[in-house]
Amino acid sequence: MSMHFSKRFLLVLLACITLFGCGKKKEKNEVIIHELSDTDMLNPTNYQSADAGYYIAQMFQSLWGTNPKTLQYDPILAKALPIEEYDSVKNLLSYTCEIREEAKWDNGEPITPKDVEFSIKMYKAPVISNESNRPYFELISDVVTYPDNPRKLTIVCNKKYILAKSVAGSFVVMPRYIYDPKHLMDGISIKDLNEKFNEVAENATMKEFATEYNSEKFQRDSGYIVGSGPYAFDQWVTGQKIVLKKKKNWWGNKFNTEYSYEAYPDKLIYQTIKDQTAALTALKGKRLDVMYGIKSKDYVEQLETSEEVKKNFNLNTPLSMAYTYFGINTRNPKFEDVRVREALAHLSDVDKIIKVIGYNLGERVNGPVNPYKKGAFNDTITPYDFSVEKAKALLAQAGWKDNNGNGTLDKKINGQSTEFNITFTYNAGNDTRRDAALIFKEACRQVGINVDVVPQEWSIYIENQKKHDFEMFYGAWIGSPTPDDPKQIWHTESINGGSNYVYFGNAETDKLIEDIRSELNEDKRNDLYRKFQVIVHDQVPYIFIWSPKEKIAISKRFTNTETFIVRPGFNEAAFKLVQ
Amino acid sequence: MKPVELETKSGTTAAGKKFFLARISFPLFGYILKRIFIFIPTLFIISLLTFILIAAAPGDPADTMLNRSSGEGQASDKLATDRSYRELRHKLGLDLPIFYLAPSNLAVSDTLIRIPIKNHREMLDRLIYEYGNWPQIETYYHQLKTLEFAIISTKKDSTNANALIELRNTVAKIFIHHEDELLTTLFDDLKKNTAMASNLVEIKIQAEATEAAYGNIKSGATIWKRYIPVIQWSGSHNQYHRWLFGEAKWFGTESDPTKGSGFIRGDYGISFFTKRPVKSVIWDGLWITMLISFLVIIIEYLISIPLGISLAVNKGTSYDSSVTVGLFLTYSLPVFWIGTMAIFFLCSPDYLEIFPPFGLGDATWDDGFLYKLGDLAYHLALPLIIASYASFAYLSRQMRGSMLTVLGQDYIRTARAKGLPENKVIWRHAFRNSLLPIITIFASFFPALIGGSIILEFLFTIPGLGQITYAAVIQKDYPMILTNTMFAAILTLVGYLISDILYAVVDPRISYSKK
Repeated sequence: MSMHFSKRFLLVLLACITLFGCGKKKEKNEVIIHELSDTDMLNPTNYQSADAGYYIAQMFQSLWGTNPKTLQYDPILAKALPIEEYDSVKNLLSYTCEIREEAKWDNGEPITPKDVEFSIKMYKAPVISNESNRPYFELISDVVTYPDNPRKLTIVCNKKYILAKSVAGSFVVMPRYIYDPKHLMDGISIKDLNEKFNEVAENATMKEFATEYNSEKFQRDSGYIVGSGPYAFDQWVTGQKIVLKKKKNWWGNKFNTEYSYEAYPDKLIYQTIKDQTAALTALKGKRLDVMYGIKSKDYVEQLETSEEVKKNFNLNTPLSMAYTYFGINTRNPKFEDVRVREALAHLSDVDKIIKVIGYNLGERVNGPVNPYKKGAFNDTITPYDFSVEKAKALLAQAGWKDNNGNGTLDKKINGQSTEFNITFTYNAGNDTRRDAALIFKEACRQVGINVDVVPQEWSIYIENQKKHDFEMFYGAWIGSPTPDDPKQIWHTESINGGSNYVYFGNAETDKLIEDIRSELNEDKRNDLYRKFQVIVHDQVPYIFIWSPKEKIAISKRFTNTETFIVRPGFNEAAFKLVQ
Repeated sequence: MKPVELETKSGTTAAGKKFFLARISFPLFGYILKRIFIFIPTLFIISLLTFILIAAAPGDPADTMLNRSSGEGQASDKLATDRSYRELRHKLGLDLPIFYLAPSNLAVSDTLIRIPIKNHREMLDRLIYEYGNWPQIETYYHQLKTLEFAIISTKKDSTNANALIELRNTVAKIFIHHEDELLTTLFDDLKKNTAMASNLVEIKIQAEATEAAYGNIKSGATIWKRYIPVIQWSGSHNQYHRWLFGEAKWFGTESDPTKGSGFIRGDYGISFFTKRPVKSVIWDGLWITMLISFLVIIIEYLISIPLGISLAVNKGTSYDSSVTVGLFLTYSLPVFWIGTMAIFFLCSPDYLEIFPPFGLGDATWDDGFLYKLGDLAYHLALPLIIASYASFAYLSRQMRGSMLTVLGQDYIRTARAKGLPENKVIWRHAFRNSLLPIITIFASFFPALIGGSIILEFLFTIPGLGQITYAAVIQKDYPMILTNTMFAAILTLVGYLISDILYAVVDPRISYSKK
């Protein structure tokens, strides 16, 4: 009896469910974008995950920012690009601009330099959980306002630095009336934050303000995440989706001929789907409009081959700002000789790696500067070609021979006969890196070098690089559209505490890097960049592999869906519904 | 129906009620109290073990929070200074000792944990182990810092630039190494490099002083101290105390809003990753996981119990064996595979698009109660089937086994001999007595209630506690891990207690009073 009942019950339930699922979706002016995970928070100064930055960029505006299509600065809240002035006596770099007179908060009040000043304080103040952003803002020493022009302001930086223009204008401007209704921060100036940081940290008013500001409501409650941008925060269903809604009568609508003022969809929905298979299935079922970060394998095997997918989606593969490399410990006695490193470069069959492992979805790179940075990029450098013969010759010149006849090269180092074995590490679980390493291993075997490919758990892998406790590893860097600051990766001061894991550099390259960092003239700086790339190429601290392309599917429901090199590679706000 | 039967029925029920009350009598009550009393030390030990395990695991949450441990990614992210790092460590209490007291030996220093650089701490720890004389080692460490400062503050020019680079690298190596042989060569390197330029006199003096300090460590070694065990007392200023009791005042209002009030006062801290109160993060996931677990348990029991009984009744028939084989087949198919297959074939327009592949639906309660319920059922149907199928085999086998045992009893034979219909024999006489093992299993579901199913929640993007816990472990989110572990522990203990009580209620032979 009960068996029959439950069977029938299940059947009815299933039928109901199926019927329920058959309701057809309307063609709504909403963009549904796939995300792999929920973000951390929407507090503009405290967030850490990259996704949060993208959402915040739809709700907030900055004074100026990089246009991802041109990689040049565009004015946003500023009327025009700022005037740059350098005071060589005081060593102060300043940027002066005027805020657009139309710029208004949601309550109708104009956006003023006071709001800008307040926002900078949010990035600099202690007790606030802004630790990961704060170091950038040590550069800003003051904000000057002008009584005769209530919209004019000057942002002062304490040194000549290529990223100063980016830091001084690309932070988001927050409304004081929402974030500090009690005006608690009025008593604390930017000067105080620079000079009396530790004192301010113990200040009771500062603690009171920061506790409120760090609290949950400013992270995820509507009404507390408010900017001057086209979209308002609507809803956050934890672990599932974040919804942004287009503001009615947004003040910026009339500027929509400018890139950063384009905003057409009524809603932007960021839908979390953790499992890749489920996400691809959802895409095929048109439950998603945009999917990015698609794995090459899935892209080639599941999307490109499907007529149905191609009918409904534009498949884009813009180049990315990332590059991958094999890092070599240049202070390891085995690799000290540059000829050995060159030989290893000749043994890296990059074309094969790109073709076999990368499904040809990427381009080979010749150095640390992205080809899109025209001018700075040195196109005269030819990467080391794959040649076992050249490698053999170079190794022989460097003194590596198979003296004991065991099939492996050896050499006397510090009086001891050393076999040429290489431990090549990669982060465990990253199979594409493992496969690339195996291609390298096979080529090395042909000249008599043993490569041991070893996976390491992420935190150990990184820790070993910091301690220079490695021989070779597979790494990657992601650049940004702002000028490259080579110090972090290539300066000798970054060997300890920075990311110069491979011991690159000497007094000459340090000088070059310092010159690049403080050269504000773009043409002169580009000359230095090109010179720098030649040295990196000749010294072979890295074997440069490739820059993978992004894989982005965008629904054909929309037009104006151009993709570009800057992450995430598309601007959902600019999408126009096909009529 | 005959009136006599009705009378018997109501009679049993009344007797049953009386019987139930009798079971929760004083001895059982005392037993429950005793058990709850034992909970306290158990929970204490669990929390302490969790604490020690977390502290011993590799990785540094402060590094993770500053994006410093990423090592890859946006190059400019790495500008985070040491100041931010030190502050954050202090804010999170990571610069405190772990517990009130620690087993240790005479050589170990209690100030070591305050040194903010992990690699340096490890090096000093090794030196202490090797030589056992902290005062000399401390002097050496300070001397090494002076040397580092001398190198940094020396003005760079064309004659000394390369030498300075070498000196910096050498000192950085000395900071993380303790091996005597290596240190000797590194000190030689220092000498070589200070001789490379004429304006490195200050560094030369400091380098010599450092080498001398190192010599002092070796000559003044007090290895015997290592063998004298001591208990190191750190007082209440420790991480465990901070977590359990908090730093806020116990009486009156706390003026400093940055101070927490500790686990036992209901303050579970702030998540490292989302910076939200742990309580509200867990609450978000809790109701989803509870709902799913509850439904899964109902489905499992609703299907497995009748199935088990029917198998027991039809023991040895081809029905029994074919269903058993089928059940074992499903039992051996892993959830992640079935889940992926189900998404691939049942949610995709390429095959059958019956179910949605993710989430809990878009409907809100404002869309109408029935609509919301339907939407939820539509989204949960597939996950629920996948979550429960694997248990059918286990549960129904248990039910079948215990039913068979009961069916072999004398009183069943008597009931059959009385001429009762088989249906009545099974449902009225055998059923209740065969439930005992199923109750034991029920208790083991309790931790799952809070733990959820990580795989299932991942596959279908269900934001339950399983996912939250998993993310917490990956992100080294200590407050989240601790709170989750504690609640899982509490629920497990409560689960066992409840099943013990249920035993007594179901089976009159079980008694918790002292004989």
